[in-house]
Amino acid sequence: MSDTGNRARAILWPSHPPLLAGRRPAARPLPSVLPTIIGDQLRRYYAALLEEPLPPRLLQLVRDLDERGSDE
Amino acid sequence: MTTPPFRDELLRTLPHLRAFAISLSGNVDRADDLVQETLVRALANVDRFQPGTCLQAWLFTILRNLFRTEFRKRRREVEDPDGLMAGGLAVLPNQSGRLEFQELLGALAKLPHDQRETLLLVSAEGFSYEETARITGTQLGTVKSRVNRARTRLAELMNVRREEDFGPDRVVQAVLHGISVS
Repeated sequence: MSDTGNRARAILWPSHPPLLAGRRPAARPLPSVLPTIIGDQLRRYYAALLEEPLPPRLLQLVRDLDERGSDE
Repeated sequence: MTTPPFRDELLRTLPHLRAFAISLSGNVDRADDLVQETLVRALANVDRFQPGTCLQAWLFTILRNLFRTEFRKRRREVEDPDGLMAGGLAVLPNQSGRLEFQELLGALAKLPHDQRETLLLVSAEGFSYEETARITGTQLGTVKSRVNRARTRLAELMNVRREEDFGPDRVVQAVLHGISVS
Protein backbone atom coordinates (compact mmCIF):
# COMPACT_ATOMS: atom_id res chain seq x y z
CA MET A 1 0.00 0.00 0.00
CA SER A 2 1.24 3.49 -0.80
CA ASP A 3 2.28 6.01 1.87
CA THR A 4 -0.83 8.01 1.09
CA GLY A 5 -2.93 4.89 1.55
CA ASN A 6 -1.26 4.10 4.85
CA ARG A 7 -1.72 7.65 6.10
CA ALA A 8 -5.39 7.41 5.20
CA ARG A 9 -5.65 4.10 7.05
CA ALA A 10 -3.93 5.57 10.09
CA ILE A 11 -6.48 8.38 10.22
CA LEU A 12 -9.49 6.18 9.59
CA TRP A 13 -8.40 3.12 11.64
CA PRO A 14 -5.70 4.23 14.12
CA SER A 15 -5.44 0.78 15.71
CA HIS A 16 -4.53 -0.92 12.40
CA PRO A 17 -0.85 -1.33 11.54
CA PRO A 18 0.21 -0.14 8.08
CA LEU A 19 0.02 -2.76 5.34
CA LEU A 20 3.34 -3.63 3.74
CA ALA A 21 3.35 -3.94 -0.01
CA GLY A 22 3.49 -7.54 -1.18
CA ARG A 23 2.76 -9.04 2.21
CA ARG A 24 -0.49 -10.86 2.77
CA PRO A 25 -2.19 -10.48 6.13
CA ALA A 26 -1.90 -13.52 8.42
CA ALA A 27 -4.56 -16.15 7.96
CA ARG A 28 -7.31 -15.89 10.52
CA PRO A 29 -9.66 -18.64 11.66
CA LEU A 30 -12.66 -18.98 9.41
CA PRO A 31 -15.70 -18.78 11.67
CA SER A 32 -17.58 -21.40 9.65
CA VAL A 33 -14.75 -23.96 9.83
CA LEU A 34 -13.57 -23.40 13.38
CA PRO A 35 -16.47 -25.14 15.19
CA THR A 36 -15.96 -28.23 13.03
CA ILE A 37 -12.22 -28.36 13.66
CA ILE A 38 -12.57 -27.88 17.41
CA GLY A 39 -15.54 -30.24 17.53
CA ASP A 40 -13.65 -33.02 15.72
CA GLN A 41 -10.64 -32.55 17.96
CA LEU A 42 -12.78 -32.64 21.11
CA ARG A 43 -14.59 -35.78 19.97
CA ARG A 44 -11.27 -37.57 19.30
CA TYR A 45 -9.99 -36.51 22.70
CA TYR A 46 -13.22 -37.63 24.35
CA ALA A 47 -13.26 -40.97 22.52
CA ALA A 48 -9.83 -41.70 23.98
CA LEU A 49 -11.13 -40.88 27.47
CA LEU A 50 -14.18 -43.10 27.03
CA GLU A 51 -11.93 -46.07 26.26
CA GLU A 52 -10.27 -45.72 29.64
CA PRO A 53 -10.97 -48.69 31.92
CA LEU A 54 -12.81 -47.77 35.11
CA PRO A 55 -10.66 -47.70 38.25
CA PRO A 56 -11.17 -50.44 40.92
CA ARG A 57 -13.15 -48.24 43.30
CA LEU A 58 -15.69 -47.33 40.63
CA LEU A 59 -15.86 -50.96 39.49
CA GLN A 60 -16.64 -51.88 43.09
CA LEU A 61 -19.48 -49.37 43.11
CA VAL A 62 -20.78 -50.92 39.91
CA ARG A 63 -20.63 -54.40 41.50
CA ASP A 64 -22.46 -53.11 44.58
CA LEU A 65 -25.09 -51.67 42.30
CA ASP A 66 -25.45 -54.97 40.44
CA GLU A 67 -25.81 -56.87 43.71
CA ARG A 68 -28.31 -54.36 44.93
CA GLY A 69 -30.25 -54.81 41.71
CA SER A 70 -30.26 -58.60 41.90
CA ASP A 71 -31.47 -58.49 45.51
CA GLU A 72 -34.52 -56.49 44.53
CA MET B 1 -34.85 -48.41 45.11
CA THR B 2 -33.17 -48.76 41.72
CA THR B 3 -34.99 -50.31 38.80
CA PRO B 4 -33.08 -52.31 36.15
CA PRO B 5 -33.48 -49.62 33.45
CA PHE B 6 -32.27 -46.99 35.91
CA ARG B 7 -29.30 -49.13 36.90
CA ASP B 8 -28.41 -50.00 33.30
CA GLU B 9 -28.60 -46.40 32.19
CA LEU B 10 -26.50 -45.33 35.15
CA LEU B 11 -23.83 -47.91 34.29
CA ARG B 12 -23.84 -46.82 30.64
CA THR B 13 -23.36 -43.22 31.72
CA LEU B 14 -20.44 -43.96 34.03
CA PRO B 15 -17.61 -43.68 31.46
CA HIS B 16 -19.14 -40.43 30.19
CA LEU B 17 -19.33 -39.00 33.70
CA ARG B 18 -15.70 -39.92 34.24
CA ALA B 19 -14.57 -38.37 30.95
CA PHE B 20 -16.46 -35.19 31.83
CA ALA B 21 -15.02 -35.15 35.36
CA ILE B 22 -11.45 -35.64 34.09
CA SER B 23 -11.90 -32.85 31.58
CA LEU B 24 -13.40 -30.52 34.17
CA SER B 25 -10.88 -31.12 36.92
CA GLY B 26 -7.79 -32.05 34.88
CA ASN B 27 -6.95 -34.63 37.53
CA VAL B 28 -7.81 -38.31 37.43
CA ASP B 29 -7.99 -38.88 41.19
CA ARG B 30 -10.15 -35.85 41.73
CA ALA B 31 -12.33 -36.92 38.82
CA ASP B 32 -12.84 -40.38 40.31
CA ASP B 33 -13.81 -38.78 43.63
CA LEU B 34 -16.36 -36.67 41.77
CA VAL B 35 -17.85 -39.64 39.91
CA GLN B 36 -18.02 -41.72 43.07
CA GLU B 37 -19.73 -38.92 44.97
CA THR B 38 -22.11 -38.39 42.05
CA LEU B 39 -23.17 -42.04 42.12
CA VAL B 40 -23.64 -41.98 45.88
CA ARG B 41 -25.77 -38.83 45.64
CA ALA B 42 -27.77 -40.20 42.73
CA LEU B 43 -28.57 -43.42 44.58
CA ALA B 44 -29.43 -41.55 47.75
CA ASN B 45 -31.77 -39.25 45.83
CA VAL B 46 -33.13 -41.72 43.32
CA ASP B 47 -36.70 -40.89 44.43
CA ARG B 48 -36.17 -37.34 43.22
CA PHE B 49 -35.44 -38.48 39.71
CA GLN B 50 -38.48 -38.01 37.50
CA PRO B 51 -39.04 -41.05 35.27
CA GLY B 52 -39.33 -40.07 31.66
CA THR B 53 -36.74 -37.31 31.96
CA CYS B 54 -33.14 -37.71 30.85
CA LEU B 55 -31.21 -39.64 33.49
CA GLN B 56 -27.91 -38.78 31.84
CA ALA B 57 -28.63 -35.06 32.09
CA TRP B 58 -29.66 -35.50 35.74
CA LEU B 59 -26.38 -37.27 36.56
CA PHE B 60 -24.33 -34.64 34.73
CA THR B 61 -26.15 -31.94 36.68
CA ILE B 62 -25.22 -33.61 39.98
CA LEU B 63 -21.57 -34.00 38.94
CA ARG B 64 -21.35 -30.46 37.62
CA ASN B 65 -22.82 -29.02 40.84
CA LEU B 66 -20.43 -31.10 42.96
CA PHE B 67 -17.51 -29.84 40.90
CA ARG B 68 -18.57 -26.22 41.30
CA THR B 69 -18.92 -26.63 45.06
CA GLU B 70 -15.46 -28.17 45.20
CA PHE B 71 -14.08 -25.52 42.84
CA ARG B 72 -15.24 -22.77 45.19
CA LYS B 73 -13.54 -24.50 48.11
CA ARG B 74 -10.29 -25.00 46.21
CA ARG B 75 -10.25 -21.64 44.48
CA ARG B 76 -7.22 -20.50 46.41
CA GLU B 77 -5.18 -23.53 45.49
CA VAL B 78 -2.55 -22.97 42.84
CA GLU B 79 -3.60 -24.58 39.57
CA ASP B 80 -1.05 -25.83 37.11
CA PRO B 81 -2.78 -26.19 33.74
CA ASP B 82 0.44 -27.10 31.91
CA GLY B 83 1.44 -29.88 34.25
CA LEU B 84 -1.81 -31.77 34.06
CA MET B 85 -2.29 -35.45 34.73
CA ALA B 86 -2.84 -38.01 31.97
CA GLY B 87 -0.24 -39.95 33.94
CA GLY B 88 -3.13 -41.54 35.79
CA LEU B 89 -4.74 -42.77 32.61
CA ALA B 90 -4.18 -46.34 31.50
CA VAL B 91 -5.04 -46.10 27.82
CA LEU B 92 -3.76 -43.23 25.77
CA PRO B 93 -3.38 -42.83 22.03
CA ASN B 94 -0.07 -43.34 20.22
CA GLN B 95 2.71 -40.79 20.50
CA SER B 96 1.34 -38.11 18.17
CA GLY B 97 -2.17 -38.67 19.49
CA ARG B 98 -0.83 -38.48 23.05
CA LEU B 99 0.74 -35.06 22.39
CA GLU B 100 -2.47 -33.86 20.79
CA PHE B 101 -4.41 -35.22 23.78
CA GLN B 102 -2.13 -33.47 26.29
CA GLU B 103 -2.22 -30.24 24.35
CA LEU B 104 -6.01 -30.24 24.26
CA LEU B 105 -6.27 -31.11 27.94
CA GLY B 106 -3.87 -28.27 28.82
CA ALA B 107 -5.80 -25.82 26.63
CA LEU B 108 -9.12 -26.90 28.17
CA ALA B 109 -7.71 -26.26 31.63
CA LYS B 110 -6.93 -22.68 30.65
CA LEU B 111 -10.53 -21.92 29.70
CA PRO B 112 -12.75 -20.26 32.30
CA HIS B 113 -14.61 -23.11 33.98
CA ASP B 114 -18.05 -22.01 32.79
CA GLN B 115 -16.85 -22.03 29.17
CA ARG B 116 -15.08 -25.36 29.66
CA GLU B 117 -18.09 -27.18 31.06
CA THR B 118 -20.41 -25.73 28.40
CA LEU B 119 -18.12 -26.64 25.52
CA LEU B 120 -17.63 -30.17 26.85
CA LEU B 121 -21.36 -30.75 27.27
CA VAL B 122 -22.22 -29.49 23.79
CA SER B 123 -19.24 -30.42 21.62
CA ALA B 124 -17.92 -33.54 23.34
CA GLU B 125 -20.98 -35.05 25.03
CA GLY B 126 -23.44 -34.00 22.36
CA PHE B 127 -26.07 -32.45 24.63
CA SER B 128 -28.34 -29.96 22.89
CA TYR B 129 -28.08 -26.28 23.78
CA GLU B 130 -31.40 -26.61 25.64
CA GLU B 131 -30.25 -29.62 27.68
CA THR B 132 -26.96 -27.87 28.44
CA ALA B 133 -28.84 -24.78 29.63
CA ARG B 134 -30.83 -26.98 32.03
CA ILE B 135 -27.73 -28.82 33.28
CA THR B 136 -25.79 -25.62 33.90
CA GLY B 137 -28.78 -23.61 35.11
CA THR B 138 -28.24 -20.87 32.53
CA GLN B 139 -30.10 -19.25 29.65
CA LEU B 140 -29.99 -20.64 26.12
CA GLY B 141 -28.27 -17.50 24.82
CA THR B 142 -25.62 -17.78 27.51
CA VAL B 143 -24.87 -21.36 26.46
CA LYS B 144 -24.50 -20.37 22.80
CA SER B 145 -22.25 -17.47 23.62
CA ARG B 146 -20.09 -19.57 25.97
CA VAL B 147 -19.65 -22.29 23.36
CA ASN B 148 -18.65 -19.73 20.78
CA ARG B 149 -16.16 -18.00 23.06
CA ALA B 150 -14.74 -21.31 24.25
CA ARG B 151 -14.15 -22.57 20.68
CA THR B 152 -12.45 -19.35 19.70
CA ARG B 153 -10.29 -19.32 22.82
CA LEU B 154 -9.38 -22.98 22.42
CA ALA B 155 -8.33 -22.36 18.82
CA GLU B 156 -6.17 -19.44 19.98
CA LEU B 157 -4.58 -21.48 22.76
CA MET B 158 -3.82 -24.32 20.35
CA ASN B 159 -2.75 -21.92 17.61
CA VAL B 160 -5.30 -23.32 15.18
CA ARG B 161 -5.91 -21.25 12.09
CA ARG B 162 -6.65 -23.83 9.44
CA GLU B 163 -7.74 -27.45 9.29
CA GLU B 164 -4.17 -28.52 8.50
CA ASP B 165 -3.04 -27.19 11.87
CA PHE B 166 -4.49 -30.35 13.39
CA GLY B 167 -3.10 -33.79 12.92
CA PRO B 168 0.22 -34.70 11.28
CA ASP B 169 2.35 -31.78 10.12
CA ARG B 170 3.24 -31.15 6.46
CA VAL B 171 6.33 -33.36 6.45
CA VAL B 172 4.58 -36.29 8.11
CA GLN B 173 1.61 -35.95 5.78
CA ALA B 174 3.95 -35.97 2.78
CA VAL B 175 5.72 -39.11 4.04
CA LEU B 176 2.36 -40.78 4.65
CA HIS B 177 1.35 -40.00 1.10
CA GLY B 178 4.73 -40.99 -0.38
CA ILE B 179 5.55 -37.47 -1.56
CA SER B 180 9.06 -36.08 -1.43
CA VAL B 181 9.42 -32.88 0.53
CA SER B 182 11.81 -30.18 -0.57
